[in-house]
Formats: sequence, structure tokens, C-alpha cells
Amino acid sequence: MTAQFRPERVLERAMARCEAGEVYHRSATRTPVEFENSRLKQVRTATSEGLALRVIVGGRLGFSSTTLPGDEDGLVQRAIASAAYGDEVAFSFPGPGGTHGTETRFHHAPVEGLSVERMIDIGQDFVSRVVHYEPAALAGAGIDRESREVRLINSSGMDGAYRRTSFGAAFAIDLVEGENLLSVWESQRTSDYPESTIVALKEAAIRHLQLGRVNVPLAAGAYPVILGPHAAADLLGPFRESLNGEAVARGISPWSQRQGELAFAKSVTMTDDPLLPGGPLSAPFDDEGCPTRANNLVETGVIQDFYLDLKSAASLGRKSSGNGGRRGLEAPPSPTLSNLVLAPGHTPLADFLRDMRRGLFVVQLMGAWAGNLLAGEVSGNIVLGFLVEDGEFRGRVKDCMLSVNAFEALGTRLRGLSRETGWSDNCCLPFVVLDGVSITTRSG
Amino acid sequence: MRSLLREAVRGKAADFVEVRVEETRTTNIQFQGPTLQNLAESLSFGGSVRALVGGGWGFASFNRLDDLERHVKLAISHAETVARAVKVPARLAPVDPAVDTVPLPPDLDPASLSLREKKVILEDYNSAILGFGPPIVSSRIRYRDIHTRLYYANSDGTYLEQERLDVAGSLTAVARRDGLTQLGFRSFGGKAGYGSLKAQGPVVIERCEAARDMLAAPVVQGGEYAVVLDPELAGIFVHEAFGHLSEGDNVYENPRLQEIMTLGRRFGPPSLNVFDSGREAGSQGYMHYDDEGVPTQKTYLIKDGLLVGRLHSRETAGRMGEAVTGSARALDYRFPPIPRMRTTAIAAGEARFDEMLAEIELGVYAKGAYGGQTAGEMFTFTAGEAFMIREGKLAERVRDVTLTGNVFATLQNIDRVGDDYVIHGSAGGCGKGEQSPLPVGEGAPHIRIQKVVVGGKAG
Repeated sequence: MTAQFRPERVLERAMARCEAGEVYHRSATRTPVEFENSRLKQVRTATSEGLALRVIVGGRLGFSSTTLPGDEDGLVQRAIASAAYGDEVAFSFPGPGGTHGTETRFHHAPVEGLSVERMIDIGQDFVSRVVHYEPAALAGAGIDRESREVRLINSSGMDGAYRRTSFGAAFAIDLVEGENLLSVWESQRTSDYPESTIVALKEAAIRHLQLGRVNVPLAAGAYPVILGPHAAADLLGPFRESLNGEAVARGISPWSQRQGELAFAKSVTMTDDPLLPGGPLSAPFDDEGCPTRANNLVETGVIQDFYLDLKSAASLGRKSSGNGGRRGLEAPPSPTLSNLVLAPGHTPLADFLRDMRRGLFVVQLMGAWAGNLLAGEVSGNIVLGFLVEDGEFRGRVKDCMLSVNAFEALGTRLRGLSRETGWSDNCCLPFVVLDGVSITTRSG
Repeated sequence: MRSLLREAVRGKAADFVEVRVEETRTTNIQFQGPTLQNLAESLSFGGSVRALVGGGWGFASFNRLDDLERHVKLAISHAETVARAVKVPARLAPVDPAVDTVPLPPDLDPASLSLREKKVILEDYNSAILGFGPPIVSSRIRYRDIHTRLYYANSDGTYLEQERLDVAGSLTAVARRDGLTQLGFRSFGGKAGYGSLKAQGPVVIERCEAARDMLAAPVVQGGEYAVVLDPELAGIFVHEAFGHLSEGDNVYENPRLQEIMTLGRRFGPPSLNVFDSGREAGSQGYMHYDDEGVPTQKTYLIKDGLLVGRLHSRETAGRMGEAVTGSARALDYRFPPIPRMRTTAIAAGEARFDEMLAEIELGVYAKGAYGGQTAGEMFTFTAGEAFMIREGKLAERVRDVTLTGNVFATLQNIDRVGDDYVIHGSAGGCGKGEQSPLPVGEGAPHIRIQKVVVGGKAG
């Protein structure tokens, strides 16, 4: 006998004992192809499926999840047990409104049709390019595709489903010269299959390797800095924390009382866009069944809106913004950003570089997520960054720490945003050009 | 289960096949301020097959056990695909097949604390934080325990059944005044049952006071300092700065890194001893067998300042002609095992804390950590709290202390190793590739390091 996951049956059983219920059903097949040390290392297939259940019993919210087929009674029992201790619920599950079937915005046939052989070719091509440039360098690559199906049903009549594809490409190079270790990497995840950006990622990795082979000294001080999309994404961490509806509801966000205030440079517009074509986290409804929409969080420097799930919205007396996300099957929904877009500027990156007399071009920071984000503090080791003099790359700077307050960075210290954009995880953003960024180095 | 799994790996057209099945019950409890954000028990069931053909690995994971034969075939077929592209065959280090059952210790009963009792303990901590009064405005409490039954079989004849209970969490007091937010943070974790959960009472008020005092503290002046790390931060330091470089998969196919990481080379002062052990009882890194069915051990990495070992899977040990260490770990059934740390530690030395301070004219005392990260020879971590050291004594509190450095220089710059060894755990765990958070332990006494770069306001 083959046990199945049956969301309707779970909801039916839950409703025999509960006032309200919601079943989230997710199944996915993911196939990663992995290269390490300039060779193909492993091919994997991960199939996964499971259910998460939320119930309301006696006005209180309960939650549980399972990946064991046939565990329907167990799932209902655990969720009800959890509700005994749960908080009183101030919201109800949303009614009908979800979309059925396949929407091309989220589901891309070229990703689903990508063969293992083709993914191996993508990685092998990168290895060949790297080895051709420098035989002693070690290339790594991870190419993967995923097809995911999400279905959400609840006792208010919501019955929505969608399919989403996901394509990931990551390229890395390690080169040891003497005691100097140089690592570069580029990665991108999209729901479509952008062939041209794969080539761009490979070229960027090799170019950064070329630029990084010469180390140059740097004295501590304040420098103009160009942050590439990966490094600039670290500046968004404090925004992510401070705009979170839960932090606002709890009064720990510095901006709880500052909605509508001009707090940043007028060129700063930050949008959460769950309907962005090709966006890695695009979806027609969130993980609580609320319809999604693009939401300007910061608009021309003004704190415009927060991102909310059902719970934080209820405690603020508002409606969900469609940002109820699950970090995994075992996590109940909480305010979660989808595709976070920092609007680009109009100036080409080349112009900013040309105008740089003496400053830094920072590709990657390390450890910058670990600071006091609610205070805006971003402090990270410049794991890959270059000294620029008179518009020319002079070499790699090492053993340097970059410290900046993100709120100042996108405020008084912001000199400009490039026209070009790039992805870093779920953030799409331009190169960010800053003035007077504090750099600490070994020499003090 | 035994016959099903042993049958699945027997007589297959592959050089090596292993299968694992896990049943995991997880309890999650979270408070955000006065709100009980989450309280839930969940069940996770799944398995995976890994196959080696020539030099290629294939892997398949699943939730439905009834299709096991199909997943074995898929893993082998993936391995064959890789083998066609790879010329060098993998050589797994030999290991004696083991057939064993490792239950939880008899005094460790996962059911000995009910969901209600766990909630009450955490609720008391939360009430203590929220009842502290201004400037403490909020709290964050995270707790989880993971009770796992693990079944493992491989084509060498190993069959293991193991049971593990990992308990971990964190307490955060949020202080806020005049637009500035500071956090008092404490994490805990272990494999010795619910003791660490119950023991946090005295810590709670101390964390509130720390968060309050940090509001008034200035941002540290950036620069190069002599630093003293408390045992928790020293443990994270050795994990980040050195542990990752010791993982065999970083070295085994990298001849130039092998030259740097040559056994016998001096990495630190004679007082420095670093080990990684699967047998530190009660620590989150405790496990009897690793996830390739290899018995764990205490592996010295640095002895008397000299590099003496590294952390291996069967593949990396086999390729380097070194002995297995029982260090292959998988986050869970969805991932293949790779060389990872277990409990990584700086062994106790002889220096007393006050002696370490006494010789410092101007320095920083850094305690606890929000987190750390490493890339190649560079590492960085953020201290939970910090104080200046002036003329041999602890002085004023400072905030936003991030330390960074180069592992080779920094290990050489350790000039005092304390006598007060402590093992620490956390719910944060360790991340490598996509496998995060893996429960690990970190052990150390206080240590003193000269010339560490501290980020902050430019001097």
C-alpha cells in the first residue's frame, strides 16, 4: 500500500475538532549537479513532500507539520495539543482568491526541461575556462533546478495552488599562491533560465580572480567605496529587520513611529515585488493564502510601509501585505520578504569608477550579517575587494574591516546608485556608491 | 527496518552504497516579547541513498520509504553519470564493518519533560526579561529540541541504529533608548538532556543588565589591539579560524593548500593544543558513530603548537592516505555526509584570567558572540559584549566590536591560554555549503591574542 499526503482529509479531520484550519502542502524535486576542485563530483536528486497544519481551537492557534505519509491523525493531534498553549488569535484565515494552475510568471518550462547532461555542460565549461586561464586554480560549480508545487486550503474556502521552478547557478574559484588564499564566487537564483547571465557570472568570477592576484597595502581611514550587489545586499539586512511587521508591532523597530518620514536619500526606493518576472521567490499568494502584490517599503527616501503577515497585521490593526512566509515546513508563517528590489539609478558603473580618485570596489563582505542590525550597524571583513586609483584597479586589499551604518549609507553617505543591477539571493540591486566609509586595517 | 535497509544495499552494481533513514521529532518554542510566537511539535521522516561508482557520487533523498529500490537505482545511475566524466577513482579509507545499537543513556528520557513544562520554564525566563523594566523593551526566546532515531546501512556490512537528543536555544533581552537598540544575548545547547534548558535562570537578569549598559557604551575605536577572548568566543574563534581549514575536503584535492597544511608545521605557540572530538559527553558535537558509520574519536589538530591532524570523511582520508577520524556528518537525511567539526576545542592551559589582563596596557576584552564566519585564511566574528582593558584592568564597556584576522598570523599571536576550560553549545550551529545549522560544540578557556584588528569607528 502506498501512503499519500492528503490535505483535504487532514482539513476534514481537523475541522471535526477545531473552529478553523489551514493545510499547506508542498512537494518538490530538486536536482543539483556539483563540481569541486575542477571536476564533477556528484549528482543528486532530492524529492521532498510534506504537510503543515494550523488550527484554531478555543480561539487559540496551533501548529504542526509532518513529512511522514499517513501521519494524518498524528498531525491533527499535535496541532490541537499545540493550540492548548497557543496565543489568542486576532485574525482569521483568508477566503477564496488564490489562483489555480500554472502561471508562466512562476513556472518556466525551460528550467523543468533542463537535462542533467546540460547542467554538467554548464559546469564543465566553467572548469575549462578557469583551467585555461590558470591551471593551478581550482574551480567549483553548483547548477541546480527545482520544480515545486504548493497548495493551500483552509476552512474559509481558500483553495489555491501554484507551481514554481527555480534555477540556481553558483561558480567559485580557489587559488593558493604562497600563503595567499584567494576565493571568488558568483551565484544567482531565478525562477527562469537566463542563459546570458550564466555567462556573465562565469566571466565575473574569472575577472575577479585576475584582479585579485596582486595584493596592495591599504592604510586605515575613510574611503569612497563602490559596493557590488553582493556587498550592497549586506546593507539591506538592517532594513529587512526594521521594516519587519513583527519588529514594528513589538516596538523594537527604530521606525515603529516613523512611517511617512523622509529618512534616506531621495534616490532610495526599495520594493518587495513578489510578482517580479523571473524573481526567485515570486508567487501568486503567500504561504498563508493572502494574494501578493508589489509593495514600496521605502519610496524616494520616505519610509512608506512595513511588510506584514496575518498575525503582525492583526496586532497593528491592518491587513496582511501578503508577506506571510514559511522558512521551511516546520516553521509557521512569519513576515518574510519575497524579491527585494533596490531601484537602480541612471549613471553607468563605468562613470562612477572613472571618477574614483582613490577608493575601494568591494565585491563581497564576510560576517556582515552578524552585527546589531536594528541599530543599522554593518561591519564585515572585506573578503574580496580592490583598491581603485584614478579609475584603475590596483589590486586586492586584505585584512580590512569595513564598518558602516546602513541607515547613513543610504542616507547622508550615498553618492549614487548605478544603472546596472545584479542579484544577491532574493535581492536585486545596483552597485551602491558611498562616501567616507570607515576602513580598519592591520596597520591600525 | 534492518532487513529492509541491509537488503537495499546488498549486491548492487556500485563500489559502495549506503542508505540512511531518520525519524525526527522536533519541538519548537519561541517567544517574541509577550507573544508566544510558536509552540509546536513536528514529525519529520525521510531517507537517502548515496552510491559511489568509480570516482563519482550519486545521491537521492526521499520522504516515502516504499520506493526505496527506485531511489537506490537513481543514486547509482547518477553516480555512473559522474563516473563517466571523472578519471580518478575515489578510494574510501577502510573501516571495519560495525553492527551496533546506540540508544540514549538510560537516564536521558526525551519524554521526561512535557511540552507544558518546557513552555513554563521558557515563560519564566521571558517574564523575567520583560519584568526587568526600562530600558528593556522586548525579548526574544528561541528553543528547540530534536529527538532523532537514525538507521544506517552500507554495502561494507555496517548496520547501525542510533538515537540522539539535541537540546538548544537562545535568550535575548532587547534594550532601547533614544532610537538606539542593544541586545543582551545568551545561547545554550547540549546532548545531555534538558539540564541546559533548566539552568538559564541566573543568566537572564545578567543579560538584561548587559543590554541596558550597552546603551550607554560608546562604539569601540577601530584599530589593532591585544584582545582577551572569553571561553565562548575563544571556542567560536577556533571553530571559525582554524576548524574549517582542517576539514579534509578543503585540502585533499588542493596540492597548494596541502603544502600550507603540512602535518608537523608550526601553527601556534607551544602552549596551544587544539582538538576536535566526537566523544565530549554532553556536548552538541557528541556522537558515537559519524554519518558514514565510522566510530568517532578525539582527534588532535594542533599539539604543542604543531599541526598534527585533520578531519576526514572516508573519501578524503583514503585519498590522502591518512586514518579516518569519524568526522563525516550530514545535516539530515536530505544531504550527503561531508567532513565537519564535532566539538572543536582549545585545550586548557595554565594562565589565570587576571594574569592575562595584568600585562595589557590597552586592549579589548570580548565576550560571547552573535556569530562568526570564515573564508580561506580570513575569519571574522562579532562579540556579544566587550570592555576596554586599560593598564591591566577591565575598564569601560564598548559596543559593536567585530574582530577579524588572518588565521596563520592570529594563531601565532596567541600568547596566553587560560586554565578555565568550558564547552559551549548553541541553536545557531555551524553552516557549510547549504548544510546549516549543524549542532556542534565549541570548547575553550580564556585566551589572549596580540594584534587583532577590531572594526569600529576609524581612529
